[in-house]
Amino acid sequence: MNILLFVILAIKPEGFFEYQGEIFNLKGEYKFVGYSKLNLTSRQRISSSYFRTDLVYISYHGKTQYDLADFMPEYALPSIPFTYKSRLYFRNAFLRVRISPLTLQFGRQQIGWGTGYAFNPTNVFQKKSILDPSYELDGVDALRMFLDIAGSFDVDLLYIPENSIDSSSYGGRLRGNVKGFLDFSLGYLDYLSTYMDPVIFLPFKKKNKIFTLDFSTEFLGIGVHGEGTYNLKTKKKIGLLGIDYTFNDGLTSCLLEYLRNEEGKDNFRDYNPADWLDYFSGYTLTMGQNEFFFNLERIHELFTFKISSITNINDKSTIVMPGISYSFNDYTSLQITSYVGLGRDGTEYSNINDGVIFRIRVGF
Amino acid sequence: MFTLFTFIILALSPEELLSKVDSVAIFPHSIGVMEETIITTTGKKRTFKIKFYTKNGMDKQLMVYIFPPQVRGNSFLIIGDNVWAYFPETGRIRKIASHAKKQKMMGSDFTYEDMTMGTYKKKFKPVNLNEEKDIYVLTLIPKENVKISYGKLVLRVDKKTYVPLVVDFYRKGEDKPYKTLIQEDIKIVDYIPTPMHVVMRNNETGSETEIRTIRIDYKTKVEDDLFSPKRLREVSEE
Repeated sequence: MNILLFVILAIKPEGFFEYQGEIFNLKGEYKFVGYSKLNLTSRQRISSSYFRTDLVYISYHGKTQYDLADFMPEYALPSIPFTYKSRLYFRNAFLRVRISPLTLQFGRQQIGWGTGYAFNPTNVFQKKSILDPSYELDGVDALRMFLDIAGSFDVDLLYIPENSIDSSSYGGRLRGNVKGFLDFSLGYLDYLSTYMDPVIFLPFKKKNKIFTLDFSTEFLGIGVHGEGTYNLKTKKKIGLLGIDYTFNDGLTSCLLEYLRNEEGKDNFRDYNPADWLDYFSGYTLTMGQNEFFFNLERIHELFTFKISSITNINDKSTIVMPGISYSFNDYTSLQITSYVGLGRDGTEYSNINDGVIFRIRVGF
Repeated sequence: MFTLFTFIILALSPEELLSKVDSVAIFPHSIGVMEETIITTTGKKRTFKIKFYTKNGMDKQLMVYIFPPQVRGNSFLIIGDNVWAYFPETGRIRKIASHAKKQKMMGSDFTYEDMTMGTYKKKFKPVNLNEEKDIYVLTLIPKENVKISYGKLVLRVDKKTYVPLVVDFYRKGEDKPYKTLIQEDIKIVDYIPTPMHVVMRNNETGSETEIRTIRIDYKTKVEDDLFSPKRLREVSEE
């Protein structure tokens, strides 16, 4: 690893240092968990090849050990331990080679499928945080090929290797733009997904086959976007429809997204421990079948004020997240987000309780 | 000869002058780096460095932020009236809807609408032309059926280069300019008059955005397929 660090330092490192602290309510008691994170980026273009690595070291402190059962309704479960572990890892590490009209990309990379802001049902490989959907995601180890075809269309093929060819994930999509007005993609994925066994509480993997669709366009000047999947095995659909609008002052904007998730449940009394574990682990998108995301944002010079919320329409629980960010200087920014979960006991967002997250980032 | 030249100048119609103003801005392609400084109402400054590529005048533009680190790799692609944004944190490419073009671009005093204006002739028609010592004063209003926030533009055009040195932007129904664009330090680069220093001032709030061209090259050919949403991610990262 020392040699690796030496190599990275030799290639003009850039990146950021970030400190985050979170004060949160756990069973009526306030706790603190924080981390320091160093992201070293090195990238180089050599002729028609390009590589990029984001080497991250994250070090946690404060309350780092949890019992996931504490975040669920009372099911008389044994302890389900979970620990935030300090670690060194590559967030991205890929090589790209362009041989027109082909672009090949190998290694850990962003998948970037989907047009949704809060949820991306078509990106089954990466899960966003509901508290900060725009936060950078960890890459996925994949082999990727982009093939330019006529006009503004291309084909994006991906292969994610597993222990055997049979268990590996693969798929592709046709992506295009129609007269500058409509961006769309249509795809197919045969992928390995992870679920929690409802009896023994251990993860098991199974293959899924889905069709994917996403689009982004406008109607009467309002931005409209959407994405969805259809599971060929379970016959279940997940769909998202969103609109965004900027008010006449040019500083205030809002975003609404509705998610219909047939893999979720319409009655919170049917939630079982495996559902909760699937949700916490990011194996499922939401607990409920119908969810609604709202974000209102106003920019005032170096400040950005925002309030967002996610509501589970079925169990009538909501998480409300007001926040502020400020740019101290060209290199340093501060973001403070608070959150409060509302709803009856046992519902999706009521168990989140309340908390405050502050994050300071210095780029270099 | 001088008399004849003066006659020709005086005989310039508003439409002809507008064509000349636009022709200065229609260069085949360009590559460069600019430094954008946003000066807030309280005098605080934020600086960005942007690598840019253009084609067919300003009809196709690609802007990749290279400084500060917080926004490095963010990019915008403009083709005609269409704008796409790329965010490297999530690898997403999003098309920006028409209404969102009122938004300030990365907090600057330029809106997406300003950036997609293209040639003046595309969206405006001349209604009045006056002459002062070294400049023409040309008034433009939006063409019928063109959706744009501005009700009127007043251009103060340099007689020698046909570069608009000052442009006042009026909102619909207002008689005071909402924003003022100042273009100065005009240098001839590869035979093209190029304003090396541009300021957009918001007369309502007092904020302003200053752009200095650090490097510009009109000779190096720019590939057409660079201006495509499908290549936005690749171009932005590299």
